[in-house]
Amino acid sequence: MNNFDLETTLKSVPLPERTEDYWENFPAGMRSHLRRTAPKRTVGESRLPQFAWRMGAGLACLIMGLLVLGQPLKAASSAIFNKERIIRQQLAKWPKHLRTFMADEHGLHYLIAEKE
Amino acid sequence: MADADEDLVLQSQNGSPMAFESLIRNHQRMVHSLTFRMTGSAADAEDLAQETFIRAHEQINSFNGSAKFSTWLCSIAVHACLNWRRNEARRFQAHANCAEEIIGRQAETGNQPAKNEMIRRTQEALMKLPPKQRAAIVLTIYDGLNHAEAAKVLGCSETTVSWRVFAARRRLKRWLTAAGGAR
Repeated sequence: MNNFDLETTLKSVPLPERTEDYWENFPAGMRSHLRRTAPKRTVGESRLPQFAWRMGAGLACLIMGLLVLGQPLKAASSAIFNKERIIRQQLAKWPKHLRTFMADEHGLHYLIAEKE
Repeated sequence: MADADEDLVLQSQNGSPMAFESLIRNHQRMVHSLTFRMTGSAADAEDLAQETFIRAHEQINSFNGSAKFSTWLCSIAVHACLNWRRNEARRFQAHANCAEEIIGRQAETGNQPAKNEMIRRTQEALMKLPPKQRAAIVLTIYDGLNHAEAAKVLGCSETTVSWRVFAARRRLKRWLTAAGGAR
């Protein structure tokens, strides 16, 4: 069997016959089917990505907020912790007058009260 | 893209249901023919034709006119068919029913039994092919696309299409020759 014979044989298989009514009604049937299903699809498809974007943005804001707020506290506590020896000395020197310790870029500061 | 299709596609992209209905009307026979050749079942062909037009409607805004609308539609139909999954036994039963139906009509019109038998064997051989090889045969032989066009539809290289057509022809010839000799 050569290619020409094969093609002739393959093309000899007929398609199923459908009535003219079928071809007339198929496009209109499809149109009404698409009209019925279209709104459902639109709602389902449009809300999910919006919801996901909003949740993502909210989570990102929360993480950034925690990072920004947590940074100075962390820095201050770390500075005080590093100067523990000086703080102990000052507490021993002014046991009843020492009120407050503060740390900034210039170093450690403390507030000493005149009265106990 | 043909001028008539071009206008209808633009109108469909702007949300005209009537324009899309006209596109369906223009291409429904081509899509039904392709889905039948791919499945061998009239009922499945109808389901897959519907699925093709539903997908085309969903994706109409992604059609940019770089290919013919019919090629784009053909691609959707072929991929719907390639994803078509069902119980093998049911598939062959449906195919057998359809072959019987065709043979029945041929008998009514007075065709020879030998020819009917050949039709049945040919349809069976086509359905035995791996789906991607069947798609290559359907596009190149039944739809008359060249290998480059078929490659676009199937989303693979021209060499791959050529190989699939070659392998499918070789198998079909072997099966049909054996079937002819066995009679």
